Amino acid sequence: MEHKPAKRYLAAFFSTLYLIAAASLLFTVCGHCYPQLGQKLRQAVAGDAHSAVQEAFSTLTDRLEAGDGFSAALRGSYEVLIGETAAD
Amino acid sequence: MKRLQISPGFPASMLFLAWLSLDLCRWVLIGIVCHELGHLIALKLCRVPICAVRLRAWGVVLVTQETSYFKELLCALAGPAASIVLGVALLRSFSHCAVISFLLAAVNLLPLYPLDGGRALRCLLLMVLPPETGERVLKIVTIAVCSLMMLLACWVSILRQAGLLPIFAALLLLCRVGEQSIQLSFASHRKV
Repeated sequence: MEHKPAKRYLAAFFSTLYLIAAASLLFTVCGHCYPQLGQKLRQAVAGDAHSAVQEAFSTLTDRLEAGDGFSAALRGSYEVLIGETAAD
Repeated sequence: MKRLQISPGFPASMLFLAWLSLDLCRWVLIGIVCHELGHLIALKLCRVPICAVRLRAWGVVLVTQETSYFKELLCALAGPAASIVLGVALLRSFSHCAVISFLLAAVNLLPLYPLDGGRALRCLLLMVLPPETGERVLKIVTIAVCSLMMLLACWVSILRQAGLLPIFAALLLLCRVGEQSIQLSFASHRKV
């Protein structure tokens, strides 16, 4: 689809503005100037460091690195995600 | 037309990933490169010319010339196959990268057009069914999978405390699927 040059330049301008705003928000405002706010934002987006998803991911990678079979590691990770505890 | 087109969304999404975790960004980039290499090798072997490579917020799009359904099916499945091969190769040494590679393969194998799984399903359907029936079946599958995916993303975000990331990711995928279906509906209007 062809656009008029003026529209294209406007789109390029707003895209650049958006990139600058996103980069400054992510690295300057949130991360550097207000580390606590950055941490809270990161937690809101990616979840708690001890959330079920992150625990499941860690379980899977740890068990794979420990030499467990893929299906056993996957089962263990699934149990962590669902919230089941192994009955020992 | 430029062969490499980078939308502002691509660096923005990479910056976003880097802000979340530099390691995650690195592994995802390696996974994407390997996945796209799989597609490129298959396209080269099938002798399908590549018109453009588009880097977008929701991933990479390889624009090719029209080809047969069988070749398109092979080329679509080559990406997830490359991701699985990378995952298996790095399973013991770099398990984080391996798991992310498997996740990339799994997401791309979802039967949602224009993801690889949806592309492969569309080719299979159009090979065995009349075009109208095939497109209708694909639409029903897409709606069902999109609904399930959003429910799963909400469950993981809310009940498993995974933050808003799963919902963001599901919305990005929905945008990609929606954009393609709008293009398809425009194309069908033009045909009429």
